[in-house]
Amino acid sequence: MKKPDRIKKQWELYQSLRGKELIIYPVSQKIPPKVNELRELCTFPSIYFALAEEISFHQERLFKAIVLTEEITLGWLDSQTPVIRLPHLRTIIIALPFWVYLDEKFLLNHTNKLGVLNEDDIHRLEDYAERAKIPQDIRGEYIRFLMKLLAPYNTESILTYLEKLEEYQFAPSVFTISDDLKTYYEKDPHYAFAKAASSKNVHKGKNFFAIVEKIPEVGSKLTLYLPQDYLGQKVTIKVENNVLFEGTLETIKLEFTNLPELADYTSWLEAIDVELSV
Amino acid sequence: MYDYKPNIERIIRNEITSEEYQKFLNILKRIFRQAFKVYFTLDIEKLFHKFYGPDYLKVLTSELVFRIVSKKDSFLKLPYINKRYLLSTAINIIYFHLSSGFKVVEREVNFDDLNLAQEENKEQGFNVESLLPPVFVNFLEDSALSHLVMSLKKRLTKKELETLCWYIYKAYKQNPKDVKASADAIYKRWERLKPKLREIFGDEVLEGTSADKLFYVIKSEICEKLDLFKSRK
Repeated sequence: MKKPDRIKKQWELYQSLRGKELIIYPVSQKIPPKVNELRELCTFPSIYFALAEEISFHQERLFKAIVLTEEITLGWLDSQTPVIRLPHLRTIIIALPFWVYLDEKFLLNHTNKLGVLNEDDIHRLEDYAERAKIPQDIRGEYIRFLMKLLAPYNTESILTYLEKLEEYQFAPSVFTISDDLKTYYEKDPHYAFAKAASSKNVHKGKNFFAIVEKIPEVGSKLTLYLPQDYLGQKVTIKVENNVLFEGTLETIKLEFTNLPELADYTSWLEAIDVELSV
Repeated sequence: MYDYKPNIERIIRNEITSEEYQKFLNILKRIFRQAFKVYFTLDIEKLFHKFYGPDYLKVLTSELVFRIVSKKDSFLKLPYINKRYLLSTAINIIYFHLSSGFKVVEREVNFDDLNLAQEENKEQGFNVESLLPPVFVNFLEDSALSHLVMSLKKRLTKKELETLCWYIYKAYKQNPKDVKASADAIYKRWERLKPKLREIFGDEVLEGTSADKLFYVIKSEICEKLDLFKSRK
């Protein structure tokens, strides 16, 4: 007898329920978000977030949120997939191998606080999200679909956050990238022809935010926001091994002009590294 | 599709007549039957029967009602609640019980208790499960493997499937005697096939511990059915 493909069946059911867009509702009881919390997005089928990290500059807060799901058949990758049981809601959820950045207001207005996780478990979820590979099958399709569904909130949160930072009016330091380096990346096939699955011009690195804006007739401009406690310290900013900036940080906002002209900046932004020089 | 939201609203407000409630429970029982049939297996359903007794469907429907009432705010925000919504919730409840190793005790829904429990449960602590029952893990592994085998059948040519089976028989030390190609040629075919398999499986499956189980499923689901290496006269 032919074995049924349960993953396919579950995917069909999920698609019929979700539709193409994410419809979210405001929550009745607004509770300000905190790190280590488990929260549920008000939508159906539900999406859950474990808040792993808080990034704050001045009064503005952004949270790194590991995504979890109720769709066990679709999200389960192997025996390492973290499973959390919520007995009082007769619900079981599992972690997915990705995270998003959500701003405080979004979490406050659209997610219900369910409870808290201990720090070790939060690290387990983070490790899994970093390490687990997304398979090339329906489960991978489901995970990428969810990423795409959440992408507008992710990017919007980062952009809102950057806009809020702008309100503090940091005077930027402006640098021009050398022509040699510009040409180097324009000719490097890895960057010149790279086209990411979801093209983005906003990137959250380990310790910085980066945004690329295309300005007509001027070209592209890169803005980097670094942590406030780096001020006055010696910093090196590189793309791969090529130094973009080296010196004492006088402002947390750095602008770079004369950027290589690339169709998609995702890989280039991901290659940026900011280090404190000792 | 029928909208169950009015029924659910009446349950939450405790305004439903016992006749209506019974009718609704019967619908939920049918939904659980469908969930077992399509999204699980007969063996899994038998386990529920074994641990929860002949009334296992009644236990599960009570659990679904419990969940609806516990998450009433979320349910009431939905513009409508059709059968698929309930089916999706039922599937998660089955997984919830499967992951408990059937240690969840049957309880009747008491609406007063529930409201009180919600007040008390504001700062719930949760844990990542460190030990899950084998029945839960095995079922999910089997689902993933069946899906992989389906993908293989769809994405590989007959010649490529033959090559894969040659490799698997070799791994099982069942030396295939009558392969049409020379050992050298088939080895080259295998080398060419590897990147494609890596793309379908991902690196971890090819090199990881689940390879044994995967090979076994491919052997029984593909190789033995292709009848590739049967002695020819």
